[in-house]
Amino acid sequence: MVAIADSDSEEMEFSDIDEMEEAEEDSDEELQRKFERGELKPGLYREAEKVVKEHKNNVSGLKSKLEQFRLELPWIERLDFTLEAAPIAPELNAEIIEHGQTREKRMRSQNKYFTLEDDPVHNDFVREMSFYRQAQSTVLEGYKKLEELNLPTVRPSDYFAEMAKSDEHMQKVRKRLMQKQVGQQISERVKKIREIKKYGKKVQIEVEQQKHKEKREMLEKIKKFRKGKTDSIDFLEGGRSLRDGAGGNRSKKDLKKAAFKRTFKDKKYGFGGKKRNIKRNNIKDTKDERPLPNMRKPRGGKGGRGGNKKGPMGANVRGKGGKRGGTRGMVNKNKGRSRK
Amino acid sequence: MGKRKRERAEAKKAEEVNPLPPVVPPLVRDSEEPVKKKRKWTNKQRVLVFASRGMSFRNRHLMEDLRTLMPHSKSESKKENKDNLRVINEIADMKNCNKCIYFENRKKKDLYMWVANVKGGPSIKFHVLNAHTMKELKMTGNCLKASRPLLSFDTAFDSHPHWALMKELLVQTFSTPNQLPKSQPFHDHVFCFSILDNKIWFRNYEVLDTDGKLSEIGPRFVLNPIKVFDGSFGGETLWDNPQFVTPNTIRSLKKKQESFKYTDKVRQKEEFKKRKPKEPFRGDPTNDIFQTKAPEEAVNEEKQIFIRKKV
Repeated sequence: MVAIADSDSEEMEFSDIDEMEEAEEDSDEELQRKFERGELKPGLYREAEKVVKEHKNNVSGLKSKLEQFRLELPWIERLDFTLEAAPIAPELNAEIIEHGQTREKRMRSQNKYFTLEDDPVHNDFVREMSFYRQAQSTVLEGYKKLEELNLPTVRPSDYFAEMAKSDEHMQKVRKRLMQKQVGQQISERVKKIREIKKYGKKVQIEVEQQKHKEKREMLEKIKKFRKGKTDSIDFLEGGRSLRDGAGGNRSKKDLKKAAFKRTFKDKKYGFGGKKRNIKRNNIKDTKDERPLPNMRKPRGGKGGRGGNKKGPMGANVRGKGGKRGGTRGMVNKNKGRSRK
Repeated sequence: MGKRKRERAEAKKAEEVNPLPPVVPPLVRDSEEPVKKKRKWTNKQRVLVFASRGMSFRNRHLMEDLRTLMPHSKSESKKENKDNLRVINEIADMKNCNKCIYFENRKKKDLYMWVANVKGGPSIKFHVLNAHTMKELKMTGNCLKASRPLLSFDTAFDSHPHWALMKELLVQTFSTPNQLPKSQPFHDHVFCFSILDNKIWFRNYEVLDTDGKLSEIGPRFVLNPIKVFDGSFGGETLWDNPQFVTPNTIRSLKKKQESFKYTDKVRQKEEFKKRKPKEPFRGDPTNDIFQTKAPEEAVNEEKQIFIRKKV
């Protein structure tokens, strides 16, 4: 290696990755093909010894190199920090825990053997949080230092200059965020409605059962009363409460009106007494001059509606369709003529 | 060497000037006296950011993102020839750059990133993994195009000499020089470098508030270090990563495993064919002799055969 020219050795250094790859491709098939071509002969070759690659770690070289190219600049030129991650803020910790819980809950329903430690998604979240915390500690420390040097820190909201991302792009980002939020809200609302429905169904069933029960009891009591086992009909008063409960209390005015109506109807149609022959004609009716309430007056015009559509024959066939229909047809004819 | 000395001298000067005492101009000034030039921009780092041919679109966006976030960067057209990397030193020299980020593309899918100090080295070769660009909509932050970033490093960077060297080189390339004419006055974003699983994870956050509220701007990527070289794009290897497996090896292993699945299936089928009997199984004919029935169950003629002896 020493004898090789300097530049060559350097070339070797950074191209040996590719050589490694090529060596791996020297498969059995390749050898067989070579053997067929006569490039290999039996007995002449033995398996090459496996070379264990030595990995370089030239510590002194690394250190001297670092010293050589390090720039001794004040901090303000570099703005670098080497810091531990900031301690977990309580809200961040809560967020991590919540994420873990929701993730576990969801995945447990699909996979019984799910564990949070092996979950790449949750690990991703935790990892990102660690990066976030590292950056956070830098910001806290860095802003302290910048303020000591009287340098501007965070960009004020009214400072306009070219940004890394265009306004158009930021609009897209905002839109996506909004969509996400709306989606979340909708899903939450749906969840709530589902819950309410579940509860409402329960209540509905209960009310129905109660109604049935009361009805049954009432019927039983009526049966007893009919058979003469009880004398009082107080239960009827009690039974009304159900209806009242459903429809609300009737006002006094309404009650009065209903009573009046009843008395009127009783007077008109009679209350009790015989029900037979009530609709039969009698002398009194025949002598009555007043027109019968439901008798229709003959209506004009309707009979001949569209009278002439089927031609004169149609009108003739109708015959009884009425005089008027005929005349209407005539009018149409006249109209036609006048147009001519 | 000369230039470096000069740079150091300038740096020292900068240190003296830097705390910036309130400048009060003298009441009377001689018109003959030449006006002293204010030299604020002392750390003149320029970074050449470019790539070889055959880059995928995502990686190209990543490169462009780096260009937008680094106002001290310069661009160059794609490099044609992949073999001779030493030419890059000359290209950088012509572009007046003393740092270089070069994206090397292999097979249109593997991306390697070289970070080099052009004069006198060192240079580091990384394998870029899991690249996400700034264009992705889940990155909600935004920052000034040319504001100077704070650089945040994991404490693990001080644990080993190779990490320390990487940190120094990353600081010099990624930090925007103070008072760079293109740069903006505010400090509204952080570059975060963390070491996890022997890889460097890069994140870029916007600072929303002085109390440390952040939101990610992007890009994000993971750098798997392969080698550290003494020179720029060449030279003696100072360190190489024992855990590094080439993406080619990973792919070929995966392919092999998949092919095993097929060959196993084929072999199993053949074996079964060999084992399968050609004739149906024939039992011992004498077995039938001892087949009996309980006399109660016997029907018709069988009744005469199966009889229970009377004791």
